[in-house]
Amino acid sequence: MDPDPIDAWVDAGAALLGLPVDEHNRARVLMNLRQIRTIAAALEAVPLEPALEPLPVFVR
Amino acid sequence: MSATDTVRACLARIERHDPRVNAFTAVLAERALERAGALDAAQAAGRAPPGPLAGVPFAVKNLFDVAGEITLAGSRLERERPQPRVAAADATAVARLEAAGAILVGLLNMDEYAYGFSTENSHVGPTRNPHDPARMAGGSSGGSAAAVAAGMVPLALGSDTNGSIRVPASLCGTFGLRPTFGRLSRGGSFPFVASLDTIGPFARSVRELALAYDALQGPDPRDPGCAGRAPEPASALLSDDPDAGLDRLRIARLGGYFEAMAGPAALEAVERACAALRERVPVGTALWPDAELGRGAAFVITAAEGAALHLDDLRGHYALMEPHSRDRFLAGALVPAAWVHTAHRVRRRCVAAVDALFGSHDVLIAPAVPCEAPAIGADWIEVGGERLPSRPSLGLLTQPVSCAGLPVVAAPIRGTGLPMAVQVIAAPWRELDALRVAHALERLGVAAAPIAAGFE
Repeated sequence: MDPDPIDAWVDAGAALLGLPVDEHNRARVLMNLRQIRTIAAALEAVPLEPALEPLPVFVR
Repeated sequence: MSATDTVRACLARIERHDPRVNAFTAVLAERALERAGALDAAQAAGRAPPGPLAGVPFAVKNLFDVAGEITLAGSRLERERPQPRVAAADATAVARLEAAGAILVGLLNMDEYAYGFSTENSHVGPTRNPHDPARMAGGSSGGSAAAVAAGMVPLALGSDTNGSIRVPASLCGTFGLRPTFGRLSRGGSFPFVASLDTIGPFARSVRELALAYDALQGPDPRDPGCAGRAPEPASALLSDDPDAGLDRLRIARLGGYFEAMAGPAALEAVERACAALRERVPVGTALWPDAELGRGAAFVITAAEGAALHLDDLRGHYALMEPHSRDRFLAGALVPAAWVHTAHRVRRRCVAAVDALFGSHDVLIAPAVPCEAPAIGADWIEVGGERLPSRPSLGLLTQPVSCAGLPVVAAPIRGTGLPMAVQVIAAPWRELDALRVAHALERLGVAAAPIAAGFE
């Protein structure tokens, strides 16, 4: 089975940003990021018109 | 009773009851008594008319600035910095409640940096639910809800990013208000997620909730997200007649996602509320468009924005941070920008769809939490036969509403078991509609927030 690329992403991202991901917390960080990936996949599946801009600062 | 007598009685209640609840992280007795004395002297001299909250003691989640205090936001880190940030002035919300005559008596426990729904704070211990001290108070404003539920204060302030007022209000059985995004100033409060953060009150009656809401309103240059709207007072418009104003409101119960993600006790609370309203006015059913996507967008935005805010501390002070949330923050720091950008675009789509729903409805009723308060330390809850991680999942039903930035009152519904609230959701800037329906439920005897047994 191919390795999940998220493992390499976490290691590389932590090194890039200088974050303390090590053998003590790596599994928990991966679990949380996998949950976010699942949610993000559902969001990415939504058909969005190019003109639909984000609201970086949302004000009613 | 003089303000001084009221404050002394309040301080005595805190001293007697807080050891069982652990809601307070600081009691500001000297400040409170000084303020009460000044109020009494002003009244005796006929110098100032008493404000609408004259002499009412209140407490705030410890993310609000209070002059001379370190703004902890539930952390150990803020206290232990080489140069801790001591607040130079009170937060806008604190100042406005005191301008209305209320008296600040203390600071309240919370999840660290507001990232949690349980207030199982590892640094100072968990806040315990006054209705069952073995159970969670909910969070992140758990100290606020518990202090009100235990009768230690009649009024408290909290913040609500993804449900942090509504979840603890529901689990502890108090009323709570999350306002429209931008309605109430967050000036002088420790931020979490700038595009989702709101602040609001907890109380044991809708009228007290509305009085606090009225006092908190108004534009504020300290908060760039605060709208420039003039105050729209609500408390004077609440009638003791439960029918007053109800017939003009188109009310519906939310189905779909909001039923699928709610357990039996949550659904029973919704049914009780809707049954009572149905005797007075028609109550239809409605579907919240893209509820799960809205929740997902809020989840991703929260993870990334929250992590970015604390990036330096994750690098340098990881060991001092809350074990329940620091690895969630680390994961949030590693979210690709494209996912966050997509989440903001999906959010905009969700907001447009929800606004369209309010073309045919004024108030929507939904469960506030999936289940009754879990035991402290419980890692899992069960919803619809599915086992879900307890800490993020307590906000399953509040996050879609946060995503849309709508006003909501959490109204605790009378039942036989542990407390359980419903969300009374209104259109943008229509807090009054949500307060009216919650007030009607209270007048009909369906909603109530009694002091927890053993704390009377």
